[in-house]
Amino acid sequence: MQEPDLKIIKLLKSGNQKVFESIFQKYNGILFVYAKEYVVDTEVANEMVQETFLKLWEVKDTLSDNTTIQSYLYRITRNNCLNYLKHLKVHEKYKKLTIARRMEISLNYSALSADSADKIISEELEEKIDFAIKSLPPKCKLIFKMSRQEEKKYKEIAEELNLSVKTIENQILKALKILRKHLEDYITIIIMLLLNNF
Amino acid sequence: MKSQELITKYLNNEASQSEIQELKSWIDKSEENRNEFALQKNSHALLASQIATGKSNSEPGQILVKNRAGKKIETSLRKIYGIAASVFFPVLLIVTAWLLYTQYQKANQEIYTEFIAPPKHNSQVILSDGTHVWLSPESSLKYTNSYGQRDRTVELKGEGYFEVEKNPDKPFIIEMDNANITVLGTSFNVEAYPEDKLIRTTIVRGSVEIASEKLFESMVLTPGDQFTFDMENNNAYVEKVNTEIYRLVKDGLLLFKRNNLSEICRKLERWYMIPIEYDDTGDDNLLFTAKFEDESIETILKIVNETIPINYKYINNQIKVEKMKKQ
Repeated sequence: MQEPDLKIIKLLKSGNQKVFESIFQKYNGILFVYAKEYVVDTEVANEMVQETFLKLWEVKDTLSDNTTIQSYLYRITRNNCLNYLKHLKVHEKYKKLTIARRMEISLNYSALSADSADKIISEELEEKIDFAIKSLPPKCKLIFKMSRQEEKKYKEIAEELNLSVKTIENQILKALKILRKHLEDYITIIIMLLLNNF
Repeated sequence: MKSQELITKYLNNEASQSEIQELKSWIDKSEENRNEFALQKNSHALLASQIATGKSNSEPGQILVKNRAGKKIETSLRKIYGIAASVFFPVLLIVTAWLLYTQYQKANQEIYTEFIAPPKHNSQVILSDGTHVWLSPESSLKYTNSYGQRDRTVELKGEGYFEVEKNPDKPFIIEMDNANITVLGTSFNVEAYPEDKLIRTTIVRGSVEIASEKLFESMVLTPGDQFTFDMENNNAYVEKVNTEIYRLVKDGLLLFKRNNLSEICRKLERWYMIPIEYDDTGDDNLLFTAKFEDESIETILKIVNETIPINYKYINNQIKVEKMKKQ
């Protein structure tokens, strides 16, 4: 994933709007889901992502050539969300939150401010996920690939494989569970390595 | 519940308020727990975002796709309007005026039906789509003749138990002072007496969504959830309760569901049409749950007395109820 980014960074630095737009198209959805996981509110999540892209446009000249765009965008979004959650308590909005929502926000803040939130945004994230996909059981892997890489709907996959939609859903859930475990193990190893260095 | 189970539920957005509370106290116990939770939450967030990249299966992706499509439609419409406006402006004006006029006429023709349940009975109302409502005494249900056309909207004052016929295309909406409940098909109880400044809904089957300008975001409730919205203190909370007793409303019984003394008095007042004077100062911590079939108010007060010690007497066609002083 390093090489294409090199070209993109160059074009971006030259102020190419088309490239900026294509970056926006590619990562807008990803970052929105990521932000919403922490800030919960849809509107706020949208704001966070917009700020991220504004920031990218502002600092594009200072980007180093070997920046990985995806992890860079994740990091800015993380900072935006952290800032938002940090100051939410003094916000007028906070008073109107339900008790459950307040607890949720405080749990999310504690997760997002932890080391693992930064460590997990690794340069090799996509490779890591691709590698983890390889370890899925065959049927699970096939279904997951059809869904994620070929962008087929559950119904289409079900028809093609002659299975029920429910089965497809279950297999995708199973895949996600295994992938999550893989990512967690990976992060644990990184954190342990770092700790050993000190 | 095991911590892993709690975390998984939380990550899947399925944790209730009390489960979130439980998780929070588990996390606060040790740094290790905190890191374990953070790791799982962060992995989950990243993975969810990676999987949801505009793929048509995932919901957030779908929302984004829709937004984009929505924008496109909007701009092309605007173009069309632009051309149309310049060429056909006078025609448009007439058409618009005519449309507004017919709309206005229609609005004036709107007919509504209102049911008011008599005292001493739960009244059953069956709506045109097969939805059943059991109204508590003196509660009212109002709907217009457009019920079932685009959606199914009713207005509720008081208390009702609902069994809503499933129809995903036409959501069932209950309008109350200060809040709305939206349902697709389910059974649940609603209490919304305007004078109580309190809305309480209990879900028996299915799920409902409650929205209010006084709530930050709408909330989805699932079976066993009892949502209470205290409008005086602007406080909303969800509790898990046993819902078995709510099914009995259908049998026309007088029910008390974890009610305190002041709630009992107000309910008896509505049921028996007798003014009840009750001084509700002091604590009202004792709760009373019971069902009655065709009993006199004296019998009920006697039985209440077994749980919540009270004195009561008749004075000029009204009943005076007092809490017994502690000995």
